Amino acid sequence: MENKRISPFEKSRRLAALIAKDYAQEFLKLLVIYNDISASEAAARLGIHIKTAQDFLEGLEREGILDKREAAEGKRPYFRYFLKEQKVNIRFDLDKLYDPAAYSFKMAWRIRERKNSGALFKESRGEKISAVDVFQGKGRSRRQRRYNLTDCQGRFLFHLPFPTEEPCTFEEISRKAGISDDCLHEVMDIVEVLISCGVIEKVNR
Amino acid sequence: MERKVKLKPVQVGMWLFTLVLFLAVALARIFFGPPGFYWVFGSIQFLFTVMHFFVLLRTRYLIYLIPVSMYFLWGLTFLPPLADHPWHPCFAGLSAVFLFAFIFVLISKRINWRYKEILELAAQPVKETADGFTHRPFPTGPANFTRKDALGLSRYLKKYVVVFPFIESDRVVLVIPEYMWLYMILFKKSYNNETYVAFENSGNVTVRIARRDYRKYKEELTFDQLCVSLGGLFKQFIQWYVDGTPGKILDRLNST
Repeated sequence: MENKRISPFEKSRRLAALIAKDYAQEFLKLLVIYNDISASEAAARLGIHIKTAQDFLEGLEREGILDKREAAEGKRPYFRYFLKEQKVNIRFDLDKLYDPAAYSFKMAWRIRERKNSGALFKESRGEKISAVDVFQGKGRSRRQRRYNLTDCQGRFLFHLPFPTEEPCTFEEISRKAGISDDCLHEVMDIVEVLISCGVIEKVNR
Repeated sequence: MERKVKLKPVQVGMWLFTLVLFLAVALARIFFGPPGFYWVFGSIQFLFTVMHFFVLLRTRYLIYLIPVSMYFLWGLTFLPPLADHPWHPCFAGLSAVFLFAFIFVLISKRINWRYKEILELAAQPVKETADGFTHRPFPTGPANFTRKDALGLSRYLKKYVVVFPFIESDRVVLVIPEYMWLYMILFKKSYNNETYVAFENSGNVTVRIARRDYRKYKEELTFDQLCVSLGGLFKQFIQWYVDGTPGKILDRLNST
């Protein structure tokens, strides 16, 4: 089977999902003990449905933990599975989930609150906003979603230019709000969310 | 140069309240004759006595003794059980004296709610109408004051019923309510949906204009400019207070 290129996180997620099954440990023990095993043998041995065993084996084979060979012992052909790897490693680099360099150009965005966004900003002590309520949809399908803000995010939004003010760059607002560099990425995260919700707008020069 | 009025009619609730009182008096007269009229009218005077007494206690502004005395004496004058009291003519005479004093106080604007004046003054410099309302408070930048100055200004403005202050650990919030009675008499504790100007301990001044008050304007004034103007007005107030000329605040409010 041709392996499609998947991210390390996705691969780890799939593997973790398989191993999280409550029968996984016993099943893997069988694979260690037996030279090879079929889905029906494993199902009978573990007392699980044959489809469940089949899915588990195919999942491990897809992740490269098992290999399979076709067998035909007087019946219609079927697959027998055997261990390809003796060690299962679930590792991925969390830093790969977010690339700071990709966001550096966004620091130059010129932004301000969008006119008539309808968002409600909940004030907090200390010149910051504690939460933003965003309304999406119309009529009966109108939904309210609340975003609780961190300290940095709250201070940033407090100093966000009003809809009729000149927009400011991300850096200018951060400087006004006294936000340190280590907070900038979490601030950028909420800014992107609010841009997608139509609360903040990017303004071209 | 005559200034253009930028506000729609405000404090309509007070007119409705007055209308209800008139109706109560009229209905009492119709259904119960003169005794009914005197009972209801006299009771209303005592109600106003209590209301103004609360304001006197909250502001500690002795001029409120005039309306307190006036309404109290009117109550004594009109209540039927006291009609034959030997001091009845004194009650009536004194209430008339206090009435003239009260009229003078009103004409000279020594007792006046300033909600409308503040909103008008804030709107005067704003010429553009680009709307842009938002619920967020607007940071208007720093001003030259200390917390002690802000507290002093809050006491001064509360005395003249210009604002109702909330003293918080990190700032002094001056609320500009449409109906000051809610705070003075009914002890309302929250300013969530009110317009306010806050003097932060950090030296910054923050303004929030409530949607309800923004809608009182005839036009959709450019919101950030309106906030800047309101903040600038109160920065001027605190500067006058710090300079020892707080009387200029009332002069400014009376100029509208």
